[in-house]
Amino acid sequence: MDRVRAGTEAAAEEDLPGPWRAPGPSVVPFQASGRPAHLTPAAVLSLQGSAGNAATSRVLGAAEAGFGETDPDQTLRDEEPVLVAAEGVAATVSGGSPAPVPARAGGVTVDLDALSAFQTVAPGGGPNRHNGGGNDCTPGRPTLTWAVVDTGATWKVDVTALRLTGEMHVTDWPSAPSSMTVPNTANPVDGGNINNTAGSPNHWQAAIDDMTDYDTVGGGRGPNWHSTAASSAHENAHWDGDYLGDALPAGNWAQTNTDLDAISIPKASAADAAAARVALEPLVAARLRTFNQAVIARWNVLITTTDKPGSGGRGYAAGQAVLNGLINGVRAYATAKGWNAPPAPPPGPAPGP
Amino acid sequence: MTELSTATALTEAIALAERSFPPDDRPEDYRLIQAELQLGSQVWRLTFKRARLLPDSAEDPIGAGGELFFTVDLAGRSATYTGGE
Repeated sequence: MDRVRAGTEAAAEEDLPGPWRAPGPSVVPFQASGRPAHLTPAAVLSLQGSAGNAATSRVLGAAEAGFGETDPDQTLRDEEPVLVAAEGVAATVSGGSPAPVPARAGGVTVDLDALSAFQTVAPGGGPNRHNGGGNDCTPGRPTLTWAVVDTGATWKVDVTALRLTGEMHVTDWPSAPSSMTVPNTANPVDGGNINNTAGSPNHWQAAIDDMTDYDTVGGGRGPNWHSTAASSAHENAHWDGDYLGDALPAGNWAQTNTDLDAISIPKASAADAAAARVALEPLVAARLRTFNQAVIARWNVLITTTDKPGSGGRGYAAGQAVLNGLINGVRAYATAKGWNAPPAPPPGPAPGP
Repeated sequence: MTELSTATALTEAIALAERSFPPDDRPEDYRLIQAELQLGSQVWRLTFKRARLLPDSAEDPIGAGGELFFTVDLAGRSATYTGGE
């Protein structure tokens, strides 16, 4: 069973799960005799998920016990159809026919798709991840998927998906665990790449100094000591923290979704769903543009003002957290080797006679 | 050192920086986005950013990362850098 939904954009790659999307057909269509349609127990559960228990109970007309009586058994046996009564049904289509079926007095039908329409969808998707090509993160323009719904009086927009995208590059930092070379990733163990040789770029203190100023003003990724894990943490902090956690909320997707789902044109203004889609497209684009502008504006502020060493940015903070682990390891190793023991105090004055 | 005009000093600083780019990076793939003279010195701080991360319009997002932060000492004719990401 399907309601009149046409002009849907090419399906998003991800089929959003969740209680707001009804499962496959679970309503027996009208019989030619006019007998009422039924819901299977699975469909009832779906109805509960979409409309809530109270609404479901009203629809089902759940039997209640009289005063002083024991509650009647309302257990549903598997596969036993449940008689449903419903009011205010959206346009419905019986069987495979695209022709709407007029409501019949005393007849019942429930359109599960209608119940799940116009609900907020959660953004999905993520960045395209590249190994190499630098270290950077750039969000892209989200892809909106929406359908045209015939509500009877109007052609209405129904958002079905918002797919986020972007580009993320992380380039491997050299790692030669047993080689006294730079650039390198610290491996502070015997036979590793850290020494106590004065003037050597592999000197334990030189390694610490190079990593310590990563997130300080004038610092950054040093020439000799860093790690791929630090770069990865940095870029993922941009996506997870700056984009998903900060810029995206600035666009208020929930309200945007609601506003988009409220867009409609009179039924008479378009001959069919395809024509309606053409008419609705600029309205959808305008509202989505407002959303995108807010998100990008916030993102650009974050990147231009905080994405510098020592400027409070999430990326550098995340990278520094990784480097701090390496720094602690190098320091601990140097301590264990006795390389950074405090110098012996100068001898005191000679004792008097 | 002979006093240089700002344009000349900055141009020389940029040239010194570009000659000191990392081996795997080409100056033509970057754009200068910030130049700052340290007061009382001939030291310039220059920030280059990968051109592909710079947006074409204000409605496009800027890419995070891809910087090269240079410290250029005109008096010492030296340029050192740290990387942004």
